[in-house]
Amino acid sequence: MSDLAELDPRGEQRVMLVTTVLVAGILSIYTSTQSVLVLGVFSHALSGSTPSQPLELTVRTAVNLATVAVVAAAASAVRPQRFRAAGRALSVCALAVGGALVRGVLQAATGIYALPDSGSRHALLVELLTSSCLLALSLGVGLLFVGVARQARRGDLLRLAAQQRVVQLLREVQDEELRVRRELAETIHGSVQGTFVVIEAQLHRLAQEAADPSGAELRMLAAQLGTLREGELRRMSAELYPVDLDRGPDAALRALLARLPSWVAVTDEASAVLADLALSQEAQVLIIRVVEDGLSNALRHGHARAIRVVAAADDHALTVTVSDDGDGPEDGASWSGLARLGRRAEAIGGTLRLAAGRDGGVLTLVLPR
Amino acid sequence: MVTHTDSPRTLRVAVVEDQPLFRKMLSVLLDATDGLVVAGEYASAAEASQGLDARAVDVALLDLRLGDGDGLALGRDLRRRNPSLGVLVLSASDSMHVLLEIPRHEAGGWGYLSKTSSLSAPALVFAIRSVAEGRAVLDPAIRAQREVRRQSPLAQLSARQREVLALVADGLTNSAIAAQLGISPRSVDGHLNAAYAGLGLQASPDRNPRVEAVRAYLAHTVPGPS
Repeated sequence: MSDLAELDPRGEQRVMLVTTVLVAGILSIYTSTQSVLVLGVFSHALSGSTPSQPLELTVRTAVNLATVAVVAAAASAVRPQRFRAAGRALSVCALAVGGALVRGVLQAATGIYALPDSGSRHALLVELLTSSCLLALSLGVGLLFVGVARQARRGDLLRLAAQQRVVQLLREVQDEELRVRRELAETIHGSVQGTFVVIEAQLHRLAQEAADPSGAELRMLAAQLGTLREGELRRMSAELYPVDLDRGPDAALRALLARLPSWVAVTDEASAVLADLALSQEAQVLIIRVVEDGLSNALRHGHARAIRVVAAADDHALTVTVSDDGDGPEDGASWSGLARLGRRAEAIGGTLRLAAGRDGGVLTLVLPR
Repeated sequence: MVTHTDSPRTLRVAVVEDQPLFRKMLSVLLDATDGLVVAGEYASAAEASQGLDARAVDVALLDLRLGDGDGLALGRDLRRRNPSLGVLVLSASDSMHVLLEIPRHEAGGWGYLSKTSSLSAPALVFAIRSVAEGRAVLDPAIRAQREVRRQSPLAQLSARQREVLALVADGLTNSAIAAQLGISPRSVDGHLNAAYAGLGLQASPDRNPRVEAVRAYLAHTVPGPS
């Protein structure tokens, strides 16, 4: 990125014009005031034989401000800030000299200086020189501020690029983590559990051929393997990646609800809604984990006997709520799991809130669409 | 792929299973059973999609979790090619609820068997014959452990009506249910009709109440404590 390249043309134009007009405007008022009120300079052609300070001050200030306006308009068209150093110097000189000439013409036209008068001509030349210098100074200050603004903007862009890179890397790491988790869960759910079934079958076959007590021991081993397969392996797989999420969030939600104990009444008004939505994998995992956490808290801490899961979507957001008829969230309780899920929701622009409902707790996840 | 010849009265069964040893055990078991013949063995969803002629088999035995795909999706694809195909889904863990993903009008002729049960010849043969006849069938061993969900429509039925529905879910015919419960087939009919009414099920050209009842049984029961 070149130091001289324009990063924000409209913003830089604004800085250039505002700074130049402010500096030149202040100088204009200052020089008029100094000439009339401090040095007591009066133009006979303007005031006649009776000096009038207000008229003199008004005309001189008006001429100066008109000059500033003309220079600002010219600077807006030329845009000196877009050039390299030599181009800037040339354009500033041209604008300053042009502005000084305009001022001279205006001064002559308003009678501040009477051209036939040789003294006035000399004064006008001096005015041309000083006007050029002051206008060049004003434009130079404008360019200086443009440089400062450009540096600040460059810093902002570099910081933004760094932040975007960090977000992108984080996302890549999360995607990779999800991929590995999913593959591991599928391996456990598929081939590892399948292998256990085969081993169990072989143990049963050996048990049939063997006499007791060896046969009984083999049957017991097969039963233990079955328990391990259906219990521990399934739990491990679910912790790595939500069960059935590869079939969609609706299937994963149904799998989750299907595992709730039979004494819990369940109302599912979410899976049909989730089935029709296009959601990122990250959002799908988050939804299932939030519902999982909500169900677990409602049963473990809230002693709920009825659970209701609802999903509603509009053009802007998806809202998933888990409500129950339990005791509701305890005051001062530590909800580290929810806090972690809340941070994940915020990372994708959503929110997660746990509140007391009419009967029990209400956990609400809102995700942008 | 190994292809076997079949006779007209024999059910032709295709096996799609990614685990070689389990696939072999199934094939040996099927080949050793009268009235069944293995019409093809496939090691992946891709292999089955390309090589399995759905119109040349009566029943497909599909692993729910194939290494390269989903047995349920494969089953639906095969059913589109042969609407009378029976599909028996096998799984190493209790994932019976996945059958609810099958649209209602396609649910007949689908069954679910755990891999453990599938290695028992009587259970496997019964399930294969049931789905071949268009019935919906759940693994009786797993089904027996399921509990009725509180406040569900199933919980509102009488114990006898739930008992009859459970046996329908096992794939039994009315006469077999009558024999098992020691009641008359008319009584079974009566209990079933009352259960259908309780569940709000009505017969229609595209909806079989018997299949719908099995779905309801699945939807409103949960695996018992393991």
